[in-house]
Amino acid sequence: MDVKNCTLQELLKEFAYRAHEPADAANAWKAKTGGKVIGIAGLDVPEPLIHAAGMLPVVLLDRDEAVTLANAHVEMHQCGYIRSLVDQAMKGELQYCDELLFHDCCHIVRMLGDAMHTFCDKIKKVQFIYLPPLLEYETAQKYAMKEMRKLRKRLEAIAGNPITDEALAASIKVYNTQKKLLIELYDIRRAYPGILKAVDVSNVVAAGMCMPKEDHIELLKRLIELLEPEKAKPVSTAIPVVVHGSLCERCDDYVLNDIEATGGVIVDDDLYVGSRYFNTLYDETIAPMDAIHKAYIKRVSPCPTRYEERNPGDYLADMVKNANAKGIIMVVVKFCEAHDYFYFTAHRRFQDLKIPEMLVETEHDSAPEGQLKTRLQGFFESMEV
Amino acid sequence: MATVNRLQCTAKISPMLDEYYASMAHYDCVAWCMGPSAYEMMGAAGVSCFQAESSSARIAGGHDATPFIEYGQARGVSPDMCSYAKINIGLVLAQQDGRWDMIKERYRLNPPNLIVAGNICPSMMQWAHLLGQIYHVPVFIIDYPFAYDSSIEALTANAKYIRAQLEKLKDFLLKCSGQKEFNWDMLREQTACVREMSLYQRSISRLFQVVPAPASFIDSAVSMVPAISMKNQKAADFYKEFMLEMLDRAANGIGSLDNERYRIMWRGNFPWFKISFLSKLFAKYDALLVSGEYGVYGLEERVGNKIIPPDGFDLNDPLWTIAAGGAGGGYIASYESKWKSEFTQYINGYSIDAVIIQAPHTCRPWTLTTREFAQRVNDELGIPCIVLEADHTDPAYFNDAQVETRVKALLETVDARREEKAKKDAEREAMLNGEL
Repeated sequence: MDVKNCTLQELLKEFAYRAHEPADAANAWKAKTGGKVIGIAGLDVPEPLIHAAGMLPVVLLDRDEAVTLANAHVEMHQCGYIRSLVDQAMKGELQYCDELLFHDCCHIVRMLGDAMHTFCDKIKKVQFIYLPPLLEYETAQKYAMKEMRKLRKRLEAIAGNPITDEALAASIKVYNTQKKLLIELYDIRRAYPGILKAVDVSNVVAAGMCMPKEDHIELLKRLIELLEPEKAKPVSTAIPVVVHGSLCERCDDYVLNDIEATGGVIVDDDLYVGSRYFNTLYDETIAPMDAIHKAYIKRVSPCPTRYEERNPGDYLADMVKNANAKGIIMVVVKFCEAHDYFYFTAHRRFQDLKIPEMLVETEHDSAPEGQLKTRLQGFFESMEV
Repeated sequence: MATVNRLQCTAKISPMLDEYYASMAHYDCVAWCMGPSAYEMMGAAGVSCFQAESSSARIAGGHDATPFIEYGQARGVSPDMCSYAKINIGLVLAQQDGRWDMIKERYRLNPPNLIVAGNICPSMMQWAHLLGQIYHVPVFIIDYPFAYDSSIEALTANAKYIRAQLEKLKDFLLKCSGQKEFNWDMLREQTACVREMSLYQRSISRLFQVVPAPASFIDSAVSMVPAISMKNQKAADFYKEFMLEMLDRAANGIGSLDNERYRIMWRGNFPWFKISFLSKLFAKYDALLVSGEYGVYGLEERVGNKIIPPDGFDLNDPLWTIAAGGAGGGYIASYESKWKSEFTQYINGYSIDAVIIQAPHTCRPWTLTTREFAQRVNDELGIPCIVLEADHTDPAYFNDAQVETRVKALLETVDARREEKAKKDAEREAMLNGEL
């Protein structure tokens, strides 16, 4: 597309396309560069290492289509993300990936990733990285660094290129540029509620998780430029809320749309395909491997699969306050057990702090929109009272 | 219908555990533990240990789990959480709300002074975090890395990492208890007890190979708590008695069933609230559980044995012994390692006719890839196998009639295969004799 001359609507359409068809961009990139594509699961996979090796990392997301083939191997009571991922692999939709690299973030990702090659002949054996979840323990921090160094060597072997410190520093700069632009976009959303629909924001971030970073940066710059005249328009008067969750997957469009159709406006988020992807910058003042390591242990958003002393409810309560929001909607993917504990802890803190909160559980093959709308209406009405 | 000759010594389990839980009241510093939490170290640091999963299993075994599960769920606990945790959290919330009317005396909990959890699955870690937030007490997590690389070098490196954490745990325990010195002699003594216990357990495992089996594997499963929680001389003495009783029966040709017709391997944890039902169900069809990883542990395919040959113990270095034992088995093992450590080593030599895999609804580590394993048991080993979808401690996920139908169908498959084999053998015999 002609990025320099496109309209806002055309650009948003491009983001949506990039977000939903990652294989197209990946195949085009392969044809152009001859490089390898690495499909990754889990936001803790250190992407700049892949980028610095001259390969394209693509964060594997769930597909908005019914799971069929995977049902023979994955129980219905496992999370929709892994069911969708296995389904995509079995249907050959991940064949644009030369390798799959999973972060061992939970048992579901671990065990199915580890066994997937036994029933799916369309992928190679999945590679793993084990990053200890104990972010504040010195012994675990050292182990994480060792794993990252081992991964660096493995990636060099896959790419057939050495990963120099210079290349890694350059990749970190690229990633930070993308992150800073997304942070700027979120600043604009907080200052001008309703300037973009939540679904559009979700597409913008999802596209950035799949497509080459350099291309995404160009699109982001144009987006921020095109939003300038929009700032003069009246802002939304709906009830400002923060949305958290949808771990490992995109928050369903119907959830985001329903929130904004029933009296709310999303002014900030702590979504997987949202601020969680970009809110931790790499420290460019230290050695590049240290910067990657630091970003893992000093993350901004608490993760249900990692262990930190802090109460996740405090982090989210601050987000609500900083965004001038009046409440929070917690989106929990059904059968994401780690998130269930996280939710319960945060929920108790919201009760203590008297922050209005609503739980929305989502399931991959089900979209109970009518029921959700009724609940959301009730939630927003209670906040108005 | 056959009668089950249970081992006499299993009658000691319940009073032993009651005594053990009652002893908690005498300690000033109690650690609540979940997952492999280096229990051996607690006493040496002046800390007593309360094992949360065992407590939930005990409540479920007493058919008292549902009120606590429901109490928690009404307050935001998800029905999809591990049911061990659901029961424990529900009980904690009920206690905090002063709902003594719904808590039997024997289930009442002394609040923790600290919490220790082993990160073999995220549930343990998050459960510990949640309790830490509720009770405002310090938490220590031991991380057990996923052994995606099962080379001896990688496993040894992981054991070193675990050992380094145990050193930190020692300091943490002492800080919590206020005890000045760590009692290394006590830990060495306890490690010797664990070794003794482990040797008895290995013998017990092998005694299940005897036909007819002198005990039911269910006897072994219901007797696993002393090995997990107590790890002391009393526990070792219990397993010795268990082994001797089996030896005596084996010498006299006494089986757990009078007419043992089907020998079954069980994979996975047990629905603790249905132990009696399962025992009677299998006996009804002259079937007996004779092997499995859950309940005995400690045969050859154990990571600790590879790191510290031959048996996984270095009595002079108890921390290294604990670390080596935790570096790559069970939940953190790779798919291929599990095939050996949880299937083939408990099938080969046990004259197994069928395999049952329990896939507990709320326990992902035991549930995932069960279908692949079932297929593999059938295809590679030629043994019929079913997956029973149930749960370890949530009675909502168990259907008596469905379980019976499936077990019956499994045994009919065994019969059909036996008939087919007999027919083929007869044909071969006839061919050799020139009759065909």
